[in-house]
Amino acid sequence: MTGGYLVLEDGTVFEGELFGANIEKAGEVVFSTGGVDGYQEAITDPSSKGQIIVFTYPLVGNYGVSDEFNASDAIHANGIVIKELTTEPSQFYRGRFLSDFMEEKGAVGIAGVDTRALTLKIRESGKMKGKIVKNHADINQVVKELKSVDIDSSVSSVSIKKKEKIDNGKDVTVAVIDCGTRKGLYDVLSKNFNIIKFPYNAKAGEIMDSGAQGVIVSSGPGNPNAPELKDTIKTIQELSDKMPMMGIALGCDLIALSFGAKVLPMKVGHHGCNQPVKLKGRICMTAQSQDFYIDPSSAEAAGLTVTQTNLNDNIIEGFKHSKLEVYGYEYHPEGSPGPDDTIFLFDDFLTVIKGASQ
Amino acid sequence: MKKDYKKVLVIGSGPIVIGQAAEFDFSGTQACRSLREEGYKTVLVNSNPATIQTDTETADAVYIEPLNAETVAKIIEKEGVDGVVSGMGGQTGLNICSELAENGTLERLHCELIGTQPDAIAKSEDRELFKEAMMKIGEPIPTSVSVNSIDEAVEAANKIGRYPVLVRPAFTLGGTGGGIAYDENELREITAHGLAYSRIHQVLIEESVLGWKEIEFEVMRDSNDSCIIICNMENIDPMGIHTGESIVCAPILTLSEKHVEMLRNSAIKVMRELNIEGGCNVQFAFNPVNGDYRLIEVNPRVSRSSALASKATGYPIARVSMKIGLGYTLDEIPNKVTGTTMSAYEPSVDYVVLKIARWPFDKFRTVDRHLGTQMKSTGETMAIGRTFEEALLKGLRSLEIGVNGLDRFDVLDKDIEDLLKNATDQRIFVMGEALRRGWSPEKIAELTNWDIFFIKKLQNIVKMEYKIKAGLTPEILKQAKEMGFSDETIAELTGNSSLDIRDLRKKQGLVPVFKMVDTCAGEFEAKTPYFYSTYGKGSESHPVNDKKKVVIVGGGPIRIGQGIEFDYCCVHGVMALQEEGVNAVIVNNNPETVSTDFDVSDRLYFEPLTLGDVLNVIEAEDADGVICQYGGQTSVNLAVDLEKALAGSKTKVLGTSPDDMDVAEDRRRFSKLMDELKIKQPASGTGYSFEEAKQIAEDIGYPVIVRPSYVLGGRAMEIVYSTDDLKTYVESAVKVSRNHPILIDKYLTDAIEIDVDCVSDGTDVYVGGILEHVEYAGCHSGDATMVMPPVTLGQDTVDEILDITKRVALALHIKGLMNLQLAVKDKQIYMIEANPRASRTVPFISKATGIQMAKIATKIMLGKTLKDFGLTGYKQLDHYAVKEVVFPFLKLPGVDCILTPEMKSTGEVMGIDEDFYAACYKAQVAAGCNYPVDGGGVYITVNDNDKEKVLPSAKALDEMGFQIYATKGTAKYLIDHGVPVVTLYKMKDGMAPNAISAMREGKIQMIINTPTLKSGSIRDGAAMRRLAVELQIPIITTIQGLEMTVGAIKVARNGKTGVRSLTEFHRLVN
Repeated sequence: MTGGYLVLEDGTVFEGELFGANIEKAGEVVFSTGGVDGYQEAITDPSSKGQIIVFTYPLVGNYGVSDEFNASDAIHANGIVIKELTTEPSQFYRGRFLSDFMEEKGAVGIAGVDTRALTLKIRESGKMKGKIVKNHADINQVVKELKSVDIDSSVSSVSIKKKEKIDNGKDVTVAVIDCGTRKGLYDVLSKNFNIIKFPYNAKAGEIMDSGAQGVIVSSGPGNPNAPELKDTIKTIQELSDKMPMMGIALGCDLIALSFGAKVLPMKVGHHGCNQPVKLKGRICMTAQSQDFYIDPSSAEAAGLTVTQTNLNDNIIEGFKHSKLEVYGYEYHPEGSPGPDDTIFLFDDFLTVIKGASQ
Repeated sequence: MKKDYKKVLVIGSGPIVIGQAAEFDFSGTQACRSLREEGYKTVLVNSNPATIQTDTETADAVYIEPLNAETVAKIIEKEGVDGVVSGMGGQTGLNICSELAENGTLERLHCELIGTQPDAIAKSEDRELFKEAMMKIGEPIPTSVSVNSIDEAVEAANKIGRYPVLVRPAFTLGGTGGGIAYDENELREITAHGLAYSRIHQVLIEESVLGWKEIEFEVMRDSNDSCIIICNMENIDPMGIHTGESIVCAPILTLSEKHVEMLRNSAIKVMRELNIEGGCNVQFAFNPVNGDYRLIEVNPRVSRSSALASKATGYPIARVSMKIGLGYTLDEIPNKVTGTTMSAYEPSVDYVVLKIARWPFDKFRTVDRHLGTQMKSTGETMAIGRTFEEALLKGLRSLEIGVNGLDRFDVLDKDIEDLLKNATDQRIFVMGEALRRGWSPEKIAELTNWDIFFIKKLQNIVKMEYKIKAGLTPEILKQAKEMGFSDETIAELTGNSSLDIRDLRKKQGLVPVFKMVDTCAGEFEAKTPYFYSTYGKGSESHPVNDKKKVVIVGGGPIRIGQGIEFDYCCVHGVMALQEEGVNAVIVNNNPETVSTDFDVSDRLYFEPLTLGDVLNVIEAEDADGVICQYGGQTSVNLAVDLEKALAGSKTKVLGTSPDDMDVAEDRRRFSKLMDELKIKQPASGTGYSFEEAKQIAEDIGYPVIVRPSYVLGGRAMEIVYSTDDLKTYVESAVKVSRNHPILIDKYLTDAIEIDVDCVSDGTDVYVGGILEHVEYAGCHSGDATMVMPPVTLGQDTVDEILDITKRVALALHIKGLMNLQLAVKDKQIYMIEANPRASRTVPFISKATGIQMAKIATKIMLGKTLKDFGLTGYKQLDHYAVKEVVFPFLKLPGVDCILTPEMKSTGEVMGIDEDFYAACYKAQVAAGCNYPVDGGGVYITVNDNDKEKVLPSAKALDEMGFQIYATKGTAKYLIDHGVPVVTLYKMKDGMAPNAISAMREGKIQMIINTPTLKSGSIRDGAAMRRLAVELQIPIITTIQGLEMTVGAIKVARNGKTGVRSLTEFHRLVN
């Protein structure tokens, strides 16, 4: 490992040791409280595109890396910042080293950083841009560059290119508008549905003609207000009174936007797997990579009934349209990675579709 | 929604025993606070006076009474209790609640259980019901069969089809009586034990999951069926080693998200099926070969693990459990850590927590040190670090076993393999040694069943040692500190002093930062004043400037000789500081205790208690003072060094000056002082060789008490009766030399030993209590039964004791507490020792009198005087308080139960009553003695001196219908004096009936055995005593103890012993 630095937009520098690919890369620095496990899932989640993830747990890579844990085939995170890289992992999963995996997939990381100090800084100042660099002789240059750099976190770069079908021999078929889905969603959906995946820019007519009885708008990276998503929002608008609909994370925000609600950036965001919501009278832990939130007053005006808020900070975490069978969740009900506490929502969705089809 | 109760009873867990330590004082105290916060009237019962929960401030009424269903029923009735908390008093509390539910008492008294309900308790605790429930929800458990006899056990093992099998008794503490059977013979033997210990005479024969990973989840569930995981933990030692003995890390470090989620889901499913409300511990075995798992155990209550989880995450499990019991749901209970959110969250941590057990093998040198399914440790320590290595090294040096980290270990190459394979308390050090000698981590992993991940961490430590030795550059020093190396270890590796290293790194700007334990990994702003040290960037602990700050040095892990009583004193110190407007800062590393509840002090630092670690805290806090009197020997030992290191700084060591403390600790200086004060001491001398020792012993006359000079406390102390004994002692027990002389004291035969505790402000002295030992001098004071006030001393003797106490306290310039141990023989008073610090008996006396000595002493250290409290002199109690102790003999095969100068007990209880014998009875019952109240056989074997003295008690026993058994000498004497006796053969006659055969046949229910005070005699009865321990037949070893027991049995037969709250007793005093 060679020395390197994380330079933040405000000029703060954290020193550490670089690992993974031999590159320098900028991104939006966010912290994840996900714990010891789930590091591989987090960096391969397409939602993490454009982000430099600070893992608050100090030991990362304890059980190595194994294909079965991939949330997608690539590393989407722009970089990771950790306290200690485990170089001698547990052998149970017979996996590879995290550093090798990152090198192979072209991702850079920095270890040896006081990640708690960094986390507290982000918590206070809010998310900011940062760059992992090899030397910091020219910090001012890096800072200047960061101010103007456009971090690529586009849905278009992670969405699928063309329609795909998964026939699971089920009675009900759902369409998934894939904005950068995690593999785990398809595993969970496959228990209930046949699936037809559509690219993010699919037209409503195409989906209606496909035979799908319900539609799921998936999670994905970046800002839901991004211009590239205008067509997706239009598709959602057109479909929302045609068939039951469920939005997950980014998909949830896109549905809110389609009804005219406002979606705003969060100061810090929720990244981790212990975000509490209350559903059907029970506390449920949810996995999240939430960076935007729905403005509550605008939600009401848009006809969205808030069904659940985050028990820590009251951010809207779920809604149902007051008239339509349209549901949105800011978290990942599919878990994997993450708790299965809310996985029953897919059974509920199946019931809704069956009810609607009758 | 909150339920209505007129009065709520919290049941404590009784004396500290192996498997049930201070964690229940912590949880019970939190529960009481939680109840009072909600405005409930509360009642608390516990037999252990050395607890914070038995402070009269904890509940509206506090009872120190024996913990059994009968007594608890009396309290429920007297107080009009309508709600009983089931889950705060460990297995003891849970068992009492089960019994009260089963026998209809709760129904009769219109009383409800609060928290987990009887049916849920039964489903978790009864093996068959548990199995049925798990099968219903499809959760895998090891194949197992409940049996009630040995033959059934063998049949069950055949059904499982392979040995080893586990034997697990139902309803016992810490796995008492369980074990692993590798063949049928072993199975028969272990099953016999297990059946005897089980409350329902049932054991489980179970498929072995030895060598699998042991994983634990602390789960919380409310009445809305919300389930959250507070903490998950990985036992680094595999299945087969009790979780109380294993090194445990939190969170799980080596499992993938998928597997953690799988076990999490299972734990939640189980909670729901068992319908547990409140905190619960779920244990799994996880197969590291194929990812299979088995549910091992569910504890439907707070536990040792939940205390650990509370301290590891900052989530107050007991408090939240209590509120759930009262009907609140998780989203209605405010989170005290953030102050803004609710308790409905799963904590996330950003550090490594390690728990390491503390074993009593330093005291019990004859006990088998191997670790298994039965707990042998008395306490534990917890350490927090930002790396595994840091947490481990901090944890090891917190153990108070004389190591500074992964120290060198003296082991022969040929023994390493066996020591790796068969775990003992020393295995971690053997692993370090094996790595230093070039063993491969893979081989070590295979032998130990540790995950290689952890062994590589040990290897990192060993590699760093080499780097340090090769040359301590600033970069290496930084790396070593980041890895958790102590200044002491670095000093040792480089041939410096630890203060040199401290200076060196401070010059380099290398000082620790303190990070906060905030339950949320920094996601939210938290208000917890709870910190740990590490080396990194930003410190989160900033000294307050508007208040005085005083650091109290805690007591570390619970071990024999240093129990919960010191934690009690630390907590009282904190309270007193706060009452005086001073910021109270605690440094300690024991996760079980009240002092390490972040809610107790103004600041809590979870740190080892070495000089370097404590100095770091003092500097970070910019403290005005530090108190070393309350943490037992751990903190006292730091006093002199701290004063030296702090010379010239603003921080003062408060209370009695370290130099005066040294006078009391240093034999020569102390003897000189006693001569000046004309206070007698037993004749003594110091021997530097066997010949010298022999000469001294002959000069002062046998028997003598001998001990090595270089260990404190009662360690390796013995009474020797002859030159032969002395020779054996010198040659085998201690290696006497110029550098390690032995100390020889005259043993005062038949002397009565006295403990006195006082507070002094340097001008006046207040004597809190005088306690008379029932056992003769020579039995360690920590093991002695004590009576307060003294019952056999005349007023003149008491007056003289008071005079001596005052003179010694003033001569030592005591500012705070002092304890004296005195011996009275033929009306002469001898000074045994003076302890210028909080003693073991301070809480006992405070509970008996209602005068909280540790608080008053703290305020005196801050400058108040005894006059401010209107205290001086001594006030005799009008009621009686009897201290009984409990021993770990059942758990530690191989220890002789005869009492010696070496302390053996783990905990204590108090019996308090207006009637002396009623107090004795309560104390004995509370200590778990099964005295044969209804009659039976009593075996009397006493030395010649005691034959005459035993007669009145023997007559009384005979009149009460007991059958007396004795061997020839004693039998003849008793028969001659009109007591009918069944004569037994002596063991050496080789004929039956003898004592052993009579015991085995169930004819003997009590034994009186006063040993002959001569060479070798103590060992003679060892087999008989061991059997008595196994069969749980009480043994009385003194005549006074016998008289007390006879009186107690009479009281018990009369039936009516009342219950009274402490406040009612204190009214009698004041």
